[in-house]
Amino acid sequence: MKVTRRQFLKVTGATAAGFALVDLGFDLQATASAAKELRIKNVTPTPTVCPYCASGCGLVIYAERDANGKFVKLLSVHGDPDNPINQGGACSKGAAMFNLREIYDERTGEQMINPKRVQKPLYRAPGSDKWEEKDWDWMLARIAERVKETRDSSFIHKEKLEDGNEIIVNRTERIASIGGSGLDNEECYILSKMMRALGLVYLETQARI
Amino acid sequence: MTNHIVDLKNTDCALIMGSNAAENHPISMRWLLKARENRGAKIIHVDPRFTRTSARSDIYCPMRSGTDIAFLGGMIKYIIDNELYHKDYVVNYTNAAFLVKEEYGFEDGLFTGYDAEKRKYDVSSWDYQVDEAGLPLKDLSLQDPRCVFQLMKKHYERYDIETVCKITGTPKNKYLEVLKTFCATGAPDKTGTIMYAMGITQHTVGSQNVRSFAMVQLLLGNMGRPGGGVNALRGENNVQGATDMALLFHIIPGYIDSPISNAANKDLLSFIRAQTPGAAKLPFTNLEEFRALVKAGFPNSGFKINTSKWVISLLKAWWGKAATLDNDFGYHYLPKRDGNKNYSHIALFEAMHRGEIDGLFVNGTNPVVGGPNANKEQEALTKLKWMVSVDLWLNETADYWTYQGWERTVKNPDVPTYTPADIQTEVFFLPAAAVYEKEGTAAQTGRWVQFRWKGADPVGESKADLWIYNELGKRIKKLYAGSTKPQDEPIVNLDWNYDDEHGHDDIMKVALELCGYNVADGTPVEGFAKLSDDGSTACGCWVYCGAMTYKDGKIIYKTQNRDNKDNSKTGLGLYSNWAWAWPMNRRIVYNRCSVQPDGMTPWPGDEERQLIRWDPTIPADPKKPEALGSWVGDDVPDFLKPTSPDKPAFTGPFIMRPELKGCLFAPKSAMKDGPFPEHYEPWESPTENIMNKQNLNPATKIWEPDKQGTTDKYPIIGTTYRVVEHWQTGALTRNLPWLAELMPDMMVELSEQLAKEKGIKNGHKVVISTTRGDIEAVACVTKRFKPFIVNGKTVHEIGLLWHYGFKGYATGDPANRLTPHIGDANTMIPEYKAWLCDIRRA
Repeated sequence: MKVTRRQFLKVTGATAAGFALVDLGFDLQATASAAKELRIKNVTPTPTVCPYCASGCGLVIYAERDANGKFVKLLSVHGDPDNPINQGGACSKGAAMFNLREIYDERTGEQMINPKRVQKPLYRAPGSDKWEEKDWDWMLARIAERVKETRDSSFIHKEKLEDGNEIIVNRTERIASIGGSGLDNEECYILSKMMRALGLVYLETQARI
Repeated sequence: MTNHIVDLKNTDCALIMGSNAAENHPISMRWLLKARENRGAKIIHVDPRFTRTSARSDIYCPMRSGTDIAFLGGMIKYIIDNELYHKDYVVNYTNAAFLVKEEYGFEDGLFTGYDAEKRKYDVSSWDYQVDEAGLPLKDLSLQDPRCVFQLMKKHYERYDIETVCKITGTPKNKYLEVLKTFCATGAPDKTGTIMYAMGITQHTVGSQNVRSFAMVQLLLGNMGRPGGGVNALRGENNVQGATDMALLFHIIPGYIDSPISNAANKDLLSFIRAQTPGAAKLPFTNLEEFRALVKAGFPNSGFKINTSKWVISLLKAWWGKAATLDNDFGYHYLPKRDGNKNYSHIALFEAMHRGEIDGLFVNGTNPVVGGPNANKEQEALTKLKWMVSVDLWLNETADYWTYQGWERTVKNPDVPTYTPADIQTEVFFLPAAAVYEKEGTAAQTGRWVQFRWKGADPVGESKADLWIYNELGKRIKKLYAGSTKPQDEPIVNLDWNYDDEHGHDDIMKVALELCGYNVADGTPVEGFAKLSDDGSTACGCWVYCGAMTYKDGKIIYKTQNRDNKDNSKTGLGLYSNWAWAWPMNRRIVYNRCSVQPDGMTPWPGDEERQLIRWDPTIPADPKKPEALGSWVGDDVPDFLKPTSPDKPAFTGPFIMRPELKGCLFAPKSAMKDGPFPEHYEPWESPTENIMNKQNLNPATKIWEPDKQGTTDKYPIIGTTYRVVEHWQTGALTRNLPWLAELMPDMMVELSEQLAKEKGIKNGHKVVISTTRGDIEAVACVTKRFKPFIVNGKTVHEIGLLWHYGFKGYATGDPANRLTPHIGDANTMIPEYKAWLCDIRRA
């Protein structure tokens, strides 16, 4: 099988529009035979950016997909040679990003989902000493109810100013939100918007700590 | 960063202070090493400990934790005394020449206007003298005793080398070597960069530490030029973006103050008046009149004259059709906070501990390991009625209620423990998808907003945070649907339409709203200069406006740009066609400074690092060929292209400031603790302040007076830091077998001298204690720490990793069980980096 670097890195999917990886000039065929042909069968590389420090190094996710393009498993994660910030480099954390999703079993060497990843929503009842698995609908509905209960019972709609006039303040001080610096911008944005619409003023992220 | 990571290669000298760049931002070091290889750049590392960064530096200079202002104040004095400042730059681009009010003064560590009871300043005397038109008076010769330059000179007279080194514990010869080497970048043909991280900000004087950097860089003429700048190496992959989106109590998206419950914020017009510099006393009674004033321009406003456009476009993005001129565009829907209250992280946990908070959302963060005074913050969580944790794993915060969560290696009757039965919090854990199992953008430390494509499916039922919050938003809206209560309008009227035709969340819809669209046809707004305040544009965060464009009937998200050819003609590594940088794809902010005041001449000997220039012979807009004169160059200028020599912005590089100049003196309310940085000791310090009569920053809030450790019980300075194999609270690394194996144990580093004194050997288990708690760690006895001689006395400092907790493959005690609840006077960032402790064998 002769694969050029360019074909190798061809990315599918609508969001990849405008994606142009430059030729790296290494001979994949040699790499392919050395790494056994199976390893790179049906591989799709996808560029991402490291989730650790804020340097913004590019990483490429190499994944195996089936004939229908459905994701099967990770093959490896490498520094993105096209990203001008790191030009292919990765520190120990970036190089370990594979483990964020998948690991090799210590004894059998079998590739598996990282067992520390939580795969189902979990619920802990007041006073309980265990987690219970729940479905998404149940969880989201119950959270929405809790939010409404707390908001409505603590809501300050108007306040009196020193000059005697009233001001609409629309806030609750009994709900807080922290974190978000590991989320994408679009996620941070809707989080910020929703929390403020609910009237939250205790709204903080890791920039503060 | 005012500059960006790749730009580090353009420097002549790097001062790294409060950062271990080689370990925590390894790629930044690569570009510095290139600068050394290709330009002979010098690298200086100032740090309490000899680190991997020190090992790669030309000069390593030790400094006691918490004494940065003494160190940098001495540098300011050295620059002035030896006339090493870049004179043309200082006169034209900074406020050095501005005259300050006669009432302003400084004595015994206090600036004028101090109220000891409230621990607050009345800042009215910290201001410029003005003429009849309200414009600041200046003395361009810098000789007037009331000009900023002379006041600054006087302020730092006390910071002589002798005194500075007594405070910092730095050997004098090393200090001098640093001064000589870095201050040489004041030459017009040289630039120097300053790189910092949390070692600078996590102090009761953190903001003034950064201010000191800005002052040094302004004096040396290093701002707005390649190889220069004040460069924060930020710690979380999208902490920049989270800040831009205002996941912080004090701002709304785009760095606009969040409204306060007071008369100045009572309606939209009042808010705009308060938020627009120079507008306070202008005669207008409605938006239309204000618009006319903006169009004509008014003094002391700067680029923020456009604030109304950003605010109203934001309101339009949030409340869509319900935001109209008649209801102040929904301004009243915004929550208004109590102006006398602080809502920052420490305050939030103090309130929670008092039982004042019922519900908490925890979004990929872990205060049980990462919060200051973590024992107290964990106890605060027990007071919650409900908590929602969104994460990849059950981190220590999600599992705070478990038996394991309350195990303590050292028993201490002052630290309460609980059992699950004691804790009535209802906890919801929502499994989130990992970074490459979803798509979206992140703003890295140099403001490049890069798209991350989806390379794998989420594991199990885990979901992207976007899906989670979109779904939760829809459910909350449903619960409120039909309500006619005025207080529910912010939710009922919230514009929340992010689903595609199949009912799936569509990230491009969110991105379009955040970057801005024209209300009439939904096309992207091509830049924030095109935003309006009449409700015709909607934009969720104006600094991101311009990241989207419309081409051949398709919306292009420029964050997806992947052309990695360097567009700069002189090889500066701008990479302007790779991703997109805010604002307006500008790679180096304040870039007006890279050319002389005439706008046309490069700094002598520095032709290659000129980013932009004024060309009077060509038109700015090809459609208007008769209007000659345009800014040209490889970077995007900080102002509109046709800004001609008759406009104030032509010689005003710092466009976000009302005076358009870099502030050596921070006027009015810019800072809460003084217009000039002044040295104060950390809250817990091994010594008295010999620079002035105040030990602690007089303007910072003391939360727990009874928890202040003193040298009789706790004589050793403690500090915290990270290693390359782990990240932050370790949730994203201690759960990874490869990384857990590389760095499996919690450790504390201490000097050979202290180890000998305490009978501790390398590898021993030791206990470290403060007034907040105790932890156990493995001792690493090392030459990397050396005792300091402070005011003639020997003082020891030890360093702890703060990555560990009780979950994951690698476990250990959290260092933050030791750190205090006290923070910076301006930001309330906790003082993690300098506190008092003791150490003994376990």
